[in-house]
Amino acid sequence: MVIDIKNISKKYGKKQVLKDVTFSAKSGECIGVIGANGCGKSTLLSILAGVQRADGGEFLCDGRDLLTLDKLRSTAVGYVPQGTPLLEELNAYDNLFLWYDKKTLEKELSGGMLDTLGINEFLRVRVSRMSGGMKKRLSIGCALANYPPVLLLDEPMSALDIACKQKIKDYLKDYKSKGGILILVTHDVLELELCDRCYIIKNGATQPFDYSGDTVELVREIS
Amino acid sequence: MKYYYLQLKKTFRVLPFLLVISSVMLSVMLAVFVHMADANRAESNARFKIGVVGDTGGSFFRFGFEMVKTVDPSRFTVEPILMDEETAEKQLLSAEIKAYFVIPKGFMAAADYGEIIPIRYYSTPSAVDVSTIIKDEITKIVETVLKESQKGVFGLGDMLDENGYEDIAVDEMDALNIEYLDLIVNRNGIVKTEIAEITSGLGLIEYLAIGISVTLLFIMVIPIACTYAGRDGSFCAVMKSKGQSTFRQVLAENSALFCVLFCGVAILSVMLVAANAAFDIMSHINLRADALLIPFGIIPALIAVSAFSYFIFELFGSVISAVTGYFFITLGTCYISGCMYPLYAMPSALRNIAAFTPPGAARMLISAFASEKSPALPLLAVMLYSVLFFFLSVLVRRRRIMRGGN
Repeated sequence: MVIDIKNISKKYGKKQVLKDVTFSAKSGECIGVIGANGCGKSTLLSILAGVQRADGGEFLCDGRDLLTLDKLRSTAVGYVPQGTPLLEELNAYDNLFLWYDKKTLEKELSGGMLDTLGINEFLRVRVSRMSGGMKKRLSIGCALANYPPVLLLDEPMSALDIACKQKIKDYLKDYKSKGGILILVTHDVLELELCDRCYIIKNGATQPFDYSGDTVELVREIS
Repeated sequence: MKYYYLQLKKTFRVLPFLLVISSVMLSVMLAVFVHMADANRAESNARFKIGVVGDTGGSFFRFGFEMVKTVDPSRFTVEPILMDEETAEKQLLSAEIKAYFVIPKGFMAAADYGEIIPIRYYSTPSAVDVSTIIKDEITKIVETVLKESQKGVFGLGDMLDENGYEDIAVDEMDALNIEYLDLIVNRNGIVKTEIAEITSGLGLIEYLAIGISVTLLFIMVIPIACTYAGRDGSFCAVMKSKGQSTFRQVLAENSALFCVLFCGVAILSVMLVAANAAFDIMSHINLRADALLIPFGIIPALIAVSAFSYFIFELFGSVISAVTGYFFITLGTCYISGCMYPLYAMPSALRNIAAFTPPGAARMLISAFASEKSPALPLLAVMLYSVLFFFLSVLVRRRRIMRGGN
């Protein structure tokens, strides 16, 4: 599978947030999107997830434009936004039940992907009583219902402890190795280690950036 | 459907809190209500103060008026007070007098010739029950006055006899007696009643019972605020990305809110019926139970309450601001819509606004089923409000998602 993001543009009133966002990715790749605060990284992800409409551009998945095919996009793309996309008053099982059918859910919990994410540990815990790491793992678990081939993650490891970060990182590596495409918006250099290629959004457009582990260079490029 | 089921599950968790808070509020309101009903009953045992305005200058009228007022107070339950029409209208609206009647110009002069110009009688619907008494008493007053004048007729006959006019005395007395008979026969048509449309055709106690119930309906939603207000909008964004439109999201959430509210009202009603069976707390209320009240009165009103409260919860960013905002908006609109105090005591501008507020429309809808009025217009208003608030909620949700979910 190949995805092509071509000339995505978006304006908020008179402010041009994105004007020429272009990159592509193939199965098993992780693309990192970095940039200064307010440069349009989250806007880009929400456009690709179908939450916001782009003013122009294409999001092609094997030649078909997901920006116009809502039904295909909803099955092909999993989206984990920055906040907590969960029903806080219900437990983990109820939240998963919204996205999975009962049979698949039981299967995934017993040795499947949800088991790998460690969700069994807190299956009956109410979301409002969960730690940040639990919530993030559960959000990823929800987004991965029906195995979407493309996963969009908006700062998935922010404000998590090292053990939790490692757990999520391991799972995302596993997802990649099974042929999934990851698009990762991040500020975290540790998350960048997961990425095969990186792009910086500057003045609304994407520029390729070869991250070599030099944080000083990264800061200079972003600012 | 799954989302609706989960929303129901989520919202039903609040039902026990909703019932506890509503029961406490209901008990307090019932205590106040029973006290008011007792006060109202005590007041009804007192003499009714009635304004008398218009052509009250004639000495014959004054004689009759003073007689009614002082000579035999035990015969009448009304206490007439002379005043001008402007004062009478003001005092009627502030419930200082129960009614007032206007003696038309030339009433007494016309009565001398056997003609009756109808007296105009003004009242509020809350005093409709006393109107019959008052009208009967006015008739009695006129009768008493006429009896006195009959004595005068016979006295005049005696004078004619004594002064040598025997030949014309019989004819004159016959003519006067026929005029007198005319007045006696027509005395029931002497009063023309006009009712001021202020308490929607209900007695004061029934009017307040409905108003307070509507206020309670609006206030009992407050505990649900914690599950609907101030949520992280990223969940709505994910729902949208998975193909659940904002319309469907709001519909499922609104329906769940309505279901919980309906269950809460049903349980509270059962509790109220049980309490009434045990303590006879509602003996003062005389509301007729219309079979259409629940499907066309209570349910549309609850849909409007759900849509209104959902909109406020969606509009405010946090639980605290949503609860505070909702509380003050609801209390304010309930007050100006006449749910907490009879509208006739309020300025006319407020009375006109009352019908256009959501609690006002809900109160008028339920009142229509309890009186002889058509519920069509308030039902239409309540439905329009429900649709309006529903679509406003969809717009606010859409805006929140576009702004990144906050």
